[in-house]
Amino acid sequence: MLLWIIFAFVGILSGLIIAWALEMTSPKELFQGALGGLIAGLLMSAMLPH
Amino acid sequence: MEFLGYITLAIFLGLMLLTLFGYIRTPVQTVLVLSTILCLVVGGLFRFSAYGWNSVALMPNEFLGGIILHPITALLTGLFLAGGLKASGGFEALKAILGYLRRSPIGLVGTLVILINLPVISSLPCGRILAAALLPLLFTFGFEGGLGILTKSQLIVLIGAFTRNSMGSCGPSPIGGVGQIAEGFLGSFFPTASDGILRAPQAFALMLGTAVVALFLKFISQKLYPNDVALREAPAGFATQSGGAEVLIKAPIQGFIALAIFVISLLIAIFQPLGKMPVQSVLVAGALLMIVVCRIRLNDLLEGIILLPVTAMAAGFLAAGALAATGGFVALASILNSLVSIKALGVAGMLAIFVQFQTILPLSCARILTAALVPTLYLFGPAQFNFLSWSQLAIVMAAYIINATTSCGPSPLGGGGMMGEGTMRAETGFIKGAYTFASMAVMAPMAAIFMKFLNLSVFQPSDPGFARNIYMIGAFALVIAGVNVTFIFLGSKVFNPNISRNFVVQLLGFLFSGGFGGGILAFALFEMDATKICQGVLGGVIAAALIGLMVPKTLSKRLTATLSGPTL
Amino acid sequence: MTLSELLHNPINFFWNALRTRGVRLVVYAIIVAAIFPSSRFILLVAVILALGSIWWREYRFNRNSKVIYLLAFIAFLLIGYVVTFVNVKNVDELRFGMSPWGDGIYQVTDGTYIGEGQGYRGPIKVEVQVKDHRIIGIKTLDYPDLISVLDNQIKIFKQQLLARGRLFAPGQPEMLRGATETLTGYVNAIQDALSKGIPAFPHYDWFSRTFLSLFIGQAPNRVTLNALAILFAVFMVFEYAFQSMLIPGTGRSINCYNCASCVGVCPVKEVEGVQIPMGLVLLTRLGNYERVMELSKYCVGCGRCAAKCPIGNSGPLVISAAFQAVREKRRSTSTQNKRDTA
Repeated sequence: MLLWIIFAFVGILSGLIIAWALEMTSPKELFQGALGGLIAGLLMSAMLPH
Repeated sequence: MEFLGYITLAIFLGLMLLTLFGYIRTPVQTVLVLSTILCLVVGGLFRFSAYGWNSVALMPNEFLGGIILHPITALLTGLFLAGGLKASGGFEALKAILGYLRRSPIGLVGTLVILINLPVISSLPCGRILAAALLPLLFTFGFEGGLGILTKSQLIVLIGAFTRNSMGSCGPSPIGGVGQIAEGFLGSFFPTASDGILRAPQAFALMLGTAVVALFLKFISQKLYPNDVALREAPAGFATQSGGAEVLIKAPIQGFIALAIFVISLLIAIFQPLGKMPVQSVLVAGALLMIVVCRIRLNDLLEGIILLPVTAMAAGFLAAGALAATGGFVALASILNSLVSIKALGVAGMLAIFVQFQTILPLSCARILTAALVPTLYLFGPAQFNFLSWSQLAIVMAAYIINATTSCGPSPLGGGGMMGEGTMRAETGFIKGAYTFASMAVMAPMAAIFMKFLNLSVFQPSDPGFARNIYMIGAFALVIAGVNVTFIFLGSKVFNPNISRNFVVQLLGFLFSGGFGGGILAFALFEMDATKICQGVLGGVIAAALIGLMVPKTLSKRLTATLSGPTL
Repeated sequence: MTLSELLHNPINFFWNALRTRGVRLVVYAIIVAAIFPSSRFILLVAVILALGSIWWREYRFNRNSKVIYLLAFIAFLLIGYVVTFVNVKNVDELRFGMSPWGDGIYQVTDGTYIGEGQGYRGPIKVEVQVKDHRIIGIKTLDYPDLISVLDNQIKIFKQQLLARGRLFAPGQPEMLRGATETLTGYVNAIQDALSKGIPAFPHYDWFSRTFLSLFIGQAPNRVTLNALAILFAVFMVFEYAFQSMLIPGTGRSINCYNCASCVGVCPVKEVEGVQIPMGLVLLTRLGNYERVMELSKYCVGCGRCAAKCPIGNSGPLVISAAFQAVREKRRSTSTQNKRDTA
């Protein structure tokens, strides 16, 4: 459970930073970036040993 | 005999450095094999003169004992699966899925974030596989590629960040990843180490590090090297196609089937739901199933083979075996031991430098040096020198491995980063600063913190000393990201057209971040010991200086294939 | 490659055979089958399926009759299997009445006999001494399972055998990996030895023995499958690397790092889905020289790739090597055709 949470957190953080780096800084784009990062983080966590 | 170890170590390191700096223009694997033969010949002569023929006769066993077959064969079979995936249109299916995602609520940004992190999610044994498949897709987002959705700057960030993630994705891969080399050693103490003790720290660090790379490329690299990327911007009046009529990627049904077979094979290999079975058997079965179901040929499996990581690992193990048989590791450990005796550095400082070793000397595949140097790191634990306990060794291994894994990206010897540079039409060395900075300042310390506060409690649940503390991990992630993002942002504000001044500013940024990272590593190992933290900071600064000085001030204009820009 | 070439120029024939991927793959399969008896059946099935699908496709498109040879071979296997099956069944029935187990010891004439049985790690060989219809001595000649099982399992069984003087089924050993197989192998070795002391003890005929040994070997198990998977991976990589060593000029392609920096500087970059020039290098490494020749028309020969490549590979270099390979192949085919016509 903790692994899911922490990867979700870092996914969101990473998504936000990447969205900022891609110059997509409107609230909608930042939200989408965070959502994408959340999905990526959860997918990554799914492939890890728990 | 001790002297022999120093000689063979000098041979090994000397040849590596000469290759790295371009004095030897031969593929590095060839150099490693030559180094192995030379070490064995010298070792044989020494042993014969000191102990006679019987001692020489023991050398082959000692030498071959260094070869670990599992990661090599796992890598091979992983590459077959990837070859099958490519031939059956699996990557086209992946592109089609990404196209659907773009039209979903997560939009372009969310899709790009997932795309950038896709290599680590897919856990292929070599980042070049997915990079080769998807970099052409990324290129299409720009003006030259046809879609014109992203500007030149955005495209640089996208390609650079994706390539960074790719060229680190081999680390946490369960099918022949670099991490498996070190997991074998940790298995001496942690019974379930081979289940993937080093995977989660690497994946975590890579996610954050990729984001920092994106920022670095945006704010620093493009300012340092403003004329070294030959991509063209869309001319004024070009109607961008962000709304609309883009060509939908159609994938054959076999592609989706192949993708499903790939994912299922991977999940079976990782989670072993059908009972314990070698990863290699699962992957070969998956590849053969692809041949039958998706009607591809054996040649298509062969096409998927990327020889570099295979030969790199084999050559690295051979060199490791030769060093082990001749006492080279003991010599290296003694040298590092003498660094420990320098009061200002101590154990923490020495480890802060050693952990960054492969970023200081980046070769075209991490496996080369990892296979050769992880045994030395292992000796720092209870196995020999006893500087570190098993849990501390695991923390250092996590930091070392992620640093090693990401070292192939910035390597000028055909490292994976050159794929990204090639795609974005950048000069060699454009991505070096970004990649080395993220490895040194973000990924290594973050992996150490993750291992300390979460991963060890998963792999050693009986020990109450390991804190399952995600608040600490979250806080450190924010701090590490925040500090480095601040450095990047502030640094970019300070740049001006003076190249030398920019280089000095960048170097200072490296030193600050390196020191910070070294301090965090020391904290992860020794907690609130102020002396050790200061030593870690100093070690980090030294490592950062070595790394920062290797980032090019200007890039070579040799054969710039550009149709724009002032240089033509 | 034809039989006439084998007769006229055997060195050339074998050299061309060596340079053909299909032949090399069959040679690898033969080597593995020779070393690992438990893999023979699986490899036989795999080779038949692979050749069958390739030659069937050739028959459908070119009316190439190679598939008929395969069908003939399969027919031979089926007939051979039936003959072996019948022989084995008959012999086993005859043996049932002449078994050396238990009271069957009375059929064994006095003497010393050597027998062999399959243990966990290899063949177990024993020497059995029989006198007055009793087993009076057992000497272990070859016992490779020393590492995997405790000695006293065999020792205890041997003591019991000598005490009883006849062969009997041992009890289930403790749960040690391979112990059951080792003990079974030991018992089979003694049975084999005793059967040699029975006059007119029926044996399988030479055809059945050869057929079983060549095409069936031993029963495959999970270890066999795992070992085959790894060997498959190793042989495929060896095959992939070996190809470049056989054709002069293509050896450089082995060193390609897949870094695609050459693609970045190439003015052409990609055609027909293949990245230029990296794709040409990889196709050369694979041995697909005809495809390299087809794509070579797109290379403008500027040589930028050679300077950018960290190891100096270039499109023009591999194209010229592929050109040589294709020309040599065409020349040898044309010479062979002329000879056949003459």
